[in-house]
Amino acid sequence: MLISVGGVTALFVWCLYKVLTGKKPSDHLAHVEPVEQADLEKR
Amino acid sequence: MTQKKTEAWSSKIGVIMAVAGSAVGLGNFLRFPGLVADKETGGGAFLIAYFISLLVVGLPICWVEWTLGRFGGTQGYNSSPGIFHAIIRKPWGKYLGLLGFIIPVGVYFYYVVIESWCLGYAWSSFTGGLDLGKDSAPYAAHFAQTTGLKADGAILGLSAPFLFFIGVFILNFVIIYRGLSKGIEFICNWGMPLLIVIALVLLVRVLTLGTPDPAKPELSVWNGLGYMWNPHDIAQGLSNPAVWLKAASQIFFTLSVGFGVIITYASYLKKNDDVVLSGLTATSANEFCEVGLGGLITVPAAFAFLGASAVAGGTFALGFNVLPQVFAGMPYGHLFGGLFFTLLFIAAITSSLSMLQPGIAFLEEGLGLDRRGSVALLGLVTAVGCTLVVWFSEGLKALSTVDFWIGDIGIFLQGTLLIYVFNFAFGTERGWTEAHHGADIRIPSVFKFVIRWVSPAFLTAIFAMFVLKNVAGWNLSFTAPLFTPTEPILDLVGGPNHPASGVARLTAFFLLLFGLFSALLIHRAGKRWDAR
Repeated sequence: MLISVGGVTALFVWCLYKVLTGKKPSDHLAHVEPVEQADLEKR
Repeated sequence: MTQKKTEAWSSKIGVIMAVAGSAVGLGNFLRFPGLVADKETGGGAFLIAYFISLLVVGLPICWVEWTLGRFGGTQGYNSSPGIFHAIIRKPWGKYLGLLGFIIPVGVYFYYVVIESWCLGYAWSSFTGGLDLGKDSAPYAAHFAQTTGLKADGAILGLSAPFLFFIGVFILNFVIIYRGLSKGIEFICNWGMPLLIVIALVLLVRVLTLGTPDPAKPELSVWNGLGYMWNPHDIAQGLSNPAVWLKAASQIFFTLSVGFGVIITYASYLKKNDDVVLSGLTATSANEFCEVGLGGLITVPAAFAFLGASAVAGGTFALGFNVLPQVFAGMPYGHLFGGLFFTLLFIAAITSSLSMLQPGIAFLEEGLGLDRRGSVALLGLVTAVGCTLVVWFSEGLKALSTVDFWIGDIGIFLQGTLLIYVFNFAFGTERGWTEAHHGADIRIPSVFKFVIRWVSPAFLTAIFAMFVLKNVAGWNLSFTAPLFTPTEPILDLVGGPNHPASGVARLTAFFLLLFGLFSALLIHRAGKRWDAR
């Protein structure tokens, strides 16, 4: 019981931590879509 | 080719909450504890098989759905038929998405009915109407009265259960009409944290129950935990095919993989949005609610008050007969009972909303309907399906028929299809690269092998076993009689001591018509997509 409950709880907490402290979406800034490297080379 | 998107998630946590909300349902709090507590197929062996199934089927298909969904979204498609059309690029490709439309809408036919029971029970509990004493018979009678179990059409009219059903049905469509962000995401952003808070309150209450009846010291919450979680004979359990079948099925159903929901939800992501961490987080949220909360609340509480025999009655019996009796026996039971059924209602509504969005997405992009039109048409179709379930309520025959053919067989079929399409139509390498585009974490590379070889093989074996057991009636051993006809089949064709059920036949015929109607809509949608 401890392994099962502890395991899923630890995984959930770790995931939440990663989501909340992860990278922020840059395309929300002034609604500018990020330019892909491939697109840049085409230009 | 890329179509202008009119809907999108407003935040990363929003889509995670929505997918977790879709996955967390009644099964987390009622079905899973019953499976773990089962004396023959539960215990440590079940949990080992359950976590292995999570790793080789649950997580891989989850990532596959997220990846294919986001890819489809970048191609301008949000529905399963559209996304399969974009991936396969053959005239028949879009029809592989048929189940991704039929399953969520079909499951909604009965799920919203069960959802209305939860709301009705919450109301009854809060208002003291569920305090029916210590005998079990009044609780069974209350359940029969709520569901119309004893006679067809018993709840129709101005009865409270019917009014709750109408209210819940309309509420779902009001929320879905508000759109992805203002409707589903808003409800899940509030609902999921509230659900976890309520579950934690109930968990503290259950774990502090001690020994409710000092005259029966063996009936304590700790013995209840032991009854449920003690490992039993693990080696013997793991050699039993039924254990693997039950574990893999539970993983499949609890995560909502193969449902057509995740693929649609993920299609509203942007090209650079993460799908790996988001998929893992939604999965872990579901597992936390199932194993960490559901596994510690219902069965231990039922055991502490009523003993082991009370736990063995199945999902509906545990939730709607046993637990109200348990809550009636504890101080402030009406309050805790009300909270428990509110929890079930929140779990149910966040799931039922997710069943409507794939339908809305298809009607909008396939038939060119606006939100009002798509909501109206889907409302009409689901109203017909729900009427069938509510009307033919005796023995819950219509409900169980839809559940078996759509909610069991259909989901297995769609999940199997998804993993094959990912590997053999989309390409494992391409899919692996696509999954990691914009990813916040990397999937351990062993999963590439698992997705390519282990998941399809495991899933095919489990699906074959499921069909052999539940359709053909195999006893999962090689001792005679090998095959005994199962109830869903006997209901349709009849048997020596089991006349065919007219309601089951009518329901199956309706599902067939619904499938044909859906295929026609996809055919029409294909013409529209080809003309783009």
